[in-house]
Amino acid sequence: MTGAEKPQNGGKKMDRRDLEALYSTHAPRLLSLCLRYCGNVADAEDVLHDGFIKIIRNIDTFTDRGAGSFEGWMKRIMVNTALNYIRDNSKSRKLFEPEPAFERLVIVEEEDGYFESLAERIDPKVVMDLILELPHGYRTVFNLYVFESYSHKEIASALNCSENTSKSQLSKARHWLRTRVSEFMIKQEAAK
Amino acid sequence: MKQDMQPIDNFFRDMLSDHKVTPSDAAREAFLKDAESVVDKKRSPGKSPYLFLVIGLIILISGTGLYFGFRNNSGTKAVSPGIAKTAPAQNSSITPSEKSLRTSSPSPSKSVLITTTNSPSDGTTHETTQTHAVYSSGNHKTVTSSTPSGKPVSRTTKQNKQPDPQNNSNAVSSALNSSIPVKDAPTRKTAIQTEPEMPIAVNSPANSDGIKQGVNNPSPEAIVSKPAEKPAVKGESSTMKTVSKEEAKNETKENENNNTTEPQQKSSGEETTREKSHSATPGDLHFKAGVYYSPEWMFNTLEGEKYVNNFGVEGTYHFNRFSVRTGAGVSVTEGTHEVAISYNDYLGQYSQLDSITFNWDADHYNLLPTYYTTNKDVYDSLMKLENSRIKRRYTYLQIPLVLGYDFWTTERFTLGVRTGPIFSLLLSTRQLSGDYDPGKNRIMKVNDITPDRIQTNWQFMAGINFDLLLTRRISFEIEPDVRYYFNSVYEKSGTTRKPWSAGLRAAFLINF
Repeated sequence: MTGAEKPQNGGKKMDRRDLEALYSTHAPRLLSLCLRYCGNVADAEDVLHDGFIKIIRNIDTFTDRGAGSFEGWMKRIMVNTALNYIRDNSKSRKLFEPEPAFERLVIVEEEDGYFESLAERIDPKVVMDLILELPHGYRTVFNLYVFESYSHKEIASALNCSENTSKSQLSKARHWLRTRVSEFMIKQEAAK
Repeated sequence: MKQDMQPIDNFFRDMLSDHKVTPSDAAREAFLKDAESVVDKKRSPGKSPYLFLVIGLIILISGTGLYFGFRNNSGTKAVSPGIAKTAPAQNSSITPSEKSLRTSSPSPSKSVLITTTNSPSDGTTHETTQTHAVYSSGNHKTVTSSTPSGKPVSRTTKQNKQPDPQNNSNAVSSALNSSIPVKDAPTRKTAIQTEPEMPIAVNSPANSDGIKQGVNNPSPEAIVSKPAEKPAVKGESSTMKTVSKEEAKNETKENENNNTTEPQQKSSGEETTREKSHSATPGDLHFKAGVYYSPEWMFNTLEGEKYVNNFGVEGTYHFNRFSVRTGAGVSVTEGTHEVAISYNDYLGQYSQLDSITFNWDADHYNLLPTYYTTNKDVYDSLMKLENSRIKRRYTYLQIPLVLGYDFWTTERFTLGVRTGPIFSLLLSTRQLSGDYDPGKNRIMKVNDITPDRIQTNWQFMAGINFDLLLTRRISFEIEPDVRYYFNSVYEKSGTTRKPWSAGLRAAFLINF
């Protein structure tokens, strides 16, 4: 087993070494995915654990459709597990909280290729931190739309909200992130 | 649908496309521990290996039974006592196995067939026919005969296993003169065929005289008593005469011809009836009917292992060793039906103002309002989800069509295999537990999680049948069996694998 592929024999003959190989290969990337949804590492690790157990349990139902299909299948399971986690937690707190006040609103005129140029000057860890700072509802919709390529209709169905709510949450998430990115760059320029 | 992606979306996606976060060691260990237990559960023998094991066991036992069954049918040596006893009761003519006993004796024969045909004074021979079958086993010979009353009589004779030339003549003489006397028999015609190499010494007090008399008899060929030569009085012992081997053979052939033309004699008595109902005599057709109960443990259902009660009435036609069983039964099982309920929480009440009327207060020169209100419930707009389980009882009509083959039969026991399809039809569904109580909450939507039960179902069963004859008329059957369900018991069969079950059927049957 190479780790990136589905384990042989439907996972029934996996031993500890195979499990470790599978976990080592895929866990870091999948934990990053879980972290984007959960907002903190502890919850993300819980979701990762549950998701991986589901993967092991249902690995014999996976149908190989070529390169990358196993990883895509695992990602889908993780996303669904994360959404279940969000739904469970939304019983105690509302997913779409009241809009935060934009006290530090900074409007930056974006030139063409602005974000492409940022890619060389900003660390991915900072980008992840920016996403983690997003309000809960913004982050969920942004993740589903941008990273999982969900449509607004699918997001509305998954989060039990209207399509307009999804659209507005995405718009506000983008606005929030633009502001934060601009702030970060202004601070970085000032530090120089 | 193409997504409306903006540069900021692509920026975040590209930046985090290869982003990795290393899980903590604690999380890693926790996963490995849980994952190993999951893999162990998957690796441990599930239901299917057990199913194959049980089916394999049934096939093995059935095959063994069939092998011995056919061997007993075709062989000349292994004649079961049940069949041997039945033969004189049903027909005094010589059965094929007996014929082979007479004619085929390439080696020093250890089997001697003694056929004694009663010949009453009126000359008819079919009334009192008697057959003596001698089975040898080691140094012992067993002589089985049936008296005119139908009761079998067995005697044990002892013989020398190694023919000794010196002692042979004495032994043979003893055998020849023993001549199997039956004191209570009337006048008869007796044919005894023996091989000279295998002497018989009847070790019976009743025959001791015969043994002594025959010590000096030098002719050890064969013994045939001829009633024509010595007319006997009714109730007298049969008279034996020593003849040459050729004469004995001729006589035997005559007896065979006589016996085959004699009408079939039916013996009366309980034992004979019991044997008839159990032994596989050619052309034996009888019917059994009764009640059965069969607890069944089902596997591969959504609710795990399930206990099913089956009971009903059935009838079985037996033809020789084969049987066909059918009937009508009821199968009762309980199941949990899970539903997902979407609801809005009840928050409280408020007074809704319907109308206001004003009256002029002349004393105070102002308007007095009167409010007309109604209490209105207030619900949370957030939809919540809750799962509820409802217990239901499902009742099926079962119609089996089971074919059987009995490969081992004794006087009281029968062992056989049974296999065939069973058709199930859902008759009723009854709710046992109460409905979900939402309280003051408002139910918005109810979705079934557990799919409904399927209306019709086909199963295939295979089992081993043990039949015990309790009395002449009543028998008791025990039948461990396995069943494979051709379709799931649920309407949406994709949710689980095909079910199978193991059961134990018990039945009380009346023999007709």
